Amino acid sequence: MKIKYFCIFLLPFLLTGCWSANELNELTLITSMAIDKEEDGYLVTLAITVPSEATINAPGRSASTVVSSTRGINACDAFRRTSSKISRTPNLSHIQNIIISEELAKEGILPAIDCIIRDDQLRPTSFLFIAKGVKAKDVLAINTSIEHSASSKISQMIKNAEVNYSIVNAVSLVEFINSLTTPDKEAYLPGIGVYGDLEKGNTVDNSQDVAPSAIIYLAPYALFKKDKMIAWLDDYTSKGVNFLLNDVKSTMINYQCDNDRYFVLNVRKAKTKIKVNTKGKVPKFTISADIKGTICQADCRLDLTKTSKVKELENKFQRVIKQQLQKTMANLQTNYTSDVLGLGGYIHRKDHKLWKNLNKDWEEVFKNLQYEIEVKVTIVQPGAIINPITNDDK
Amino acid sequence: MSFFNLWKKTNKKSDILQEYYGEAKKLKKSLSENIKIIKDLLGNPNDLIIREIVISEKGDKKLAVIVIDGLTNALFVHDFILKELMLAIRTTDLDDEIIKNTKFVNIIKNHSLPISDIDNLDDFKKLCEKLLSGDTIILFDGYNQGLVLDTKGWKDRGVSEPSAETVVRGARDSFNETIRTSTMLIRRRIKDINLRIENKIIGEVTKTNVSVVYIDGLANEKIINDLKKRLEAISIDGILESGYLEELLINKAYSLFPSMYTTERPDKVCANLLEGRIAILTDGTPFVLVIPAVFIQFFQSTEDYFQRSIFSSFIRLLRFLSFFLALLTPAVYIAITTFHQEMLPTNLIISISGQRESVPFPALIEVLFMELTFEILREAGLRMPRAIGQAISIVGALALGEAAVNAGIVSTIMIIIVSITAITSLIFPEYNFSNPIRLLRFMFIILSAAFGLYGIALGLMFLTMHLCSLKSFGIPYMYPLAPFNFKAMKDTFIRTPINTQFRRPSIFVEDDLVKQNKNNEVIKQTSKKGSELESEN
Repeated sequence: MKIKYFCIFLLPFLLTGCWSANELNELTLITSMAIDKEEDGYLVTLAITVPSEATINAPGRSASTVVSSTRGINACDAFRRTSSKISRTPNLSHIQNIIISEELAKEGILPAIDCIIRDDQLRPTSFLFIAKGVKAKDVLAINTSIEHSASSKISQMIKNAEVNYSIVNAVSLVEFINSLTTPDKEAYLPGIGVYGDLEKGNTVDNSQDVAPSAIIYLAPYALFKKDKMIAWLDDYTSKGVNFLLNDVKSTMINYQCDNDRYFVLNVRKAKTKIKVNTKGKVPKFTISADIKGTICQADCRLDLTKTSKVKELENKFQRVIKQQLQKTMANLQTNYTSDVLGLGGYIHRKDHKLWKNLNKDWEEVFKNLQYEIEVKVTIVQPGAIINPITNDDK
Repeated sequence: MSFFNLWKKTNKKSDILQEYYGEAKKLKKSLSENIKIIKDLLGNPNDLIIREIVISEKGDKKLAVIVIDGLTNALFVHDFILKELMLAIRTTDLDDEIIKNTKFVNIIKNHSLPISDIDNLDDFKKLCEKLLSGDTIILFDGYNQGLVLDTKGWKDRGVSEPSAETVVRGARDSFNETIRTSTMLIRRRIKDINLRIENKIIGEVTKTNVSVVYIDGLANEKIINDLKKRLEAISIDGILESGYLEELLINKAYSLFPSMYTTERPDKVCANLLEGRIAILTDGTPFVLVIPAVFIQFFQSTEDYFQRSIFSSFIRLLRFLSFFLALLTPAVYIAITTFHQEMLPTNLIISISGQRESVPFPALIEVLFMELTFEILREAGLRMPRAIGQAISIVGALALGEAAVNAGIVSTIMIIIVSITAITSLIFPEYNFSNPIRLLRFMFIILSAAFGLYGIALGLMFLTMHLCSLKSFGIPYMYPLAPFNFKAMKDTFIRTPINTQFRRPSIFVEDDLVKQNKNNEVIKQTSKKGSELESEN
């Protein structure tokens, strides 16, 4: 009897075993991946960590990350072929960033992305980027200081941008796939580029120089229609899109009060609500933004100790932001006709019968959507000093 | 083999033994004959002292004082037995009529010996047993009777500080090897008429005194009877330490977890007695067994009750955390680095893999190597002579530390893991409890090396099942977790203030559950509005 129970106890152990074990020093950790389109197929580039160089005690003579590119007739083929160049089993579970080249994105991103999302190791939370102005593989080859590799620099940079800049925000693999697969929403991805000399950028010296020869930067959003990239936004529209997506954590708003003189609002809190009214023939949107912030720069004379003056300034900022949002909407409607805000989704959720009708030629409907924008700005405090330091009378 | 042969030989009792060492072998009338038999029985050892004296002037009243040197208090024997018999007795007229009519033995017993514990004696078996446990024997010429006088007194270690269970705040005394001292220490703390100390002699050869101590009315009758029955059933040549009893008394001798609580602290024993537990004292060892034991008990220290309850609760939670750390840290390390690399933050995994670059072994070998090295050092540290301790500890620190890392045999993180497991396994107030953890740690290491976190989860599941199946004298080992008792939670993971604990644990105590009278006026007042002193402040 006891033996019988003991055998039952042993059964769960048959479900798994050592076959999935991998020693750490038989693995190679891949921190980033770049996919480029070539004439006769795909070029997959992996950023491979050199563990002995990436630790604190590393001598720092050689690069902590090496880059390996391989060609293949499709993305999966190219990825598999990398094993002909790497000494250890690649481990994809720590991939932080996936960079896709502009050409590939323009032709359609799906053939490259399916192989990535299908992999069971890869995290759906890794960030996606579109390489702007350079090949995707070039971004990974830049050596950086502060962070030990381009990969961690990129992922840290986008997190920092999210909190302090809010012109581009990170888009994870799963978010991107979600917008690709839902019909009432279009996708967008942040861009990434390199300033400077690509050749010098991939040397160890680049991370040791005070003024590096090449540096990675974040570019505004790239807009998609289905799985094809259609356009790059500029900073102004990109920030507008973020406001509309309710994705702004902290950013700055400029109001030009005089020639070359500005009031700058440091946005601390921003909340955008989109409501749709489907009662009428054409759905009508109400976009209301509630923005709280402090003053970050004041060049023109204004007595900020008075509530009425502060109110005045608030109104001016309101106008600036409203204009920005209106321009953004107009751009999205007429120039790009891309529903990145997921306005279709709002209708879908509110009135799914109406959405069924509109769905057929949503593009046309989207172009002529009616909307109203309300912006409310509250200046919470003027900062460490109150009145502007100016010496003219304006 | 030869040892067993030897044993058999001595077991064959010699003629004299067969003749006089039985139940009914009475004393002879002749003193010289008796003395001869005693000498023969004991093999006439060096420390056997037989003092023959004549007390009457006529020389017709002879007697012999027999002691074993070293076991008796020599001064006491001299002052209160020999002096009395040889000098003081001369002032009495032994030929007086009244005295003549009473028996000589009784005169000596009732009039001449200023000793509190005195008893009659008429057979050789009792004589030898008493003699060998330090009593003084007086034999009379012409009578087949003798006297036993309690004169036990030997070199005793004295009451010293406990060495295995130290506290910062709390009593500093501990039991010692003499059972009388141990019972004294308990009696000093519990002055209740219901405190029962029941004696039993166990061990065919060692004849060790074992005392069962409990509070009548509090301790569970069933458990007491069960214990007595089990003690009765023991038939062994010797009990040299309470560990013998521990293994003889428990059901599942192969379980890793201790089903009895071992302690050398009298205050701990008293606290347990008050909860309705039973203590077993063994002569010859300071370690007292307390039954029934439950799992949670091993996480509780006496000091928990001497400190403020919030701090005690924190310390207790810390012990539970340490339990899991001590048990699982190396196993989780293996599981994560060989199966679930995705579970660690990228920077950490890079750092770990950087350290592991130069290590030629798989993580399993690395962990086993370090853990075994530590276990060896620990055992060696316990056994080696104190004088060379320092040299060994330096070597140990080097072997476990820098040198092993620099030589590329182990990674730095491994040192951290071994240190964590080493320290956390020593946090338990009861030293014994770290032993199952030490062994189970290796089980978990093997499981995790073969099956990853899944293996650890399975291992924990089986461990829980095993723990829930254990019983200590009929009490579920996991009480009050399984079966769950909400009221007992006041003193399990945390300890609530003493003025919130009104009842004794119902599972041990028969019926007197009230620990603190809830309706007590003083308690009511103080708990409602605080004492007058406090409100004045």
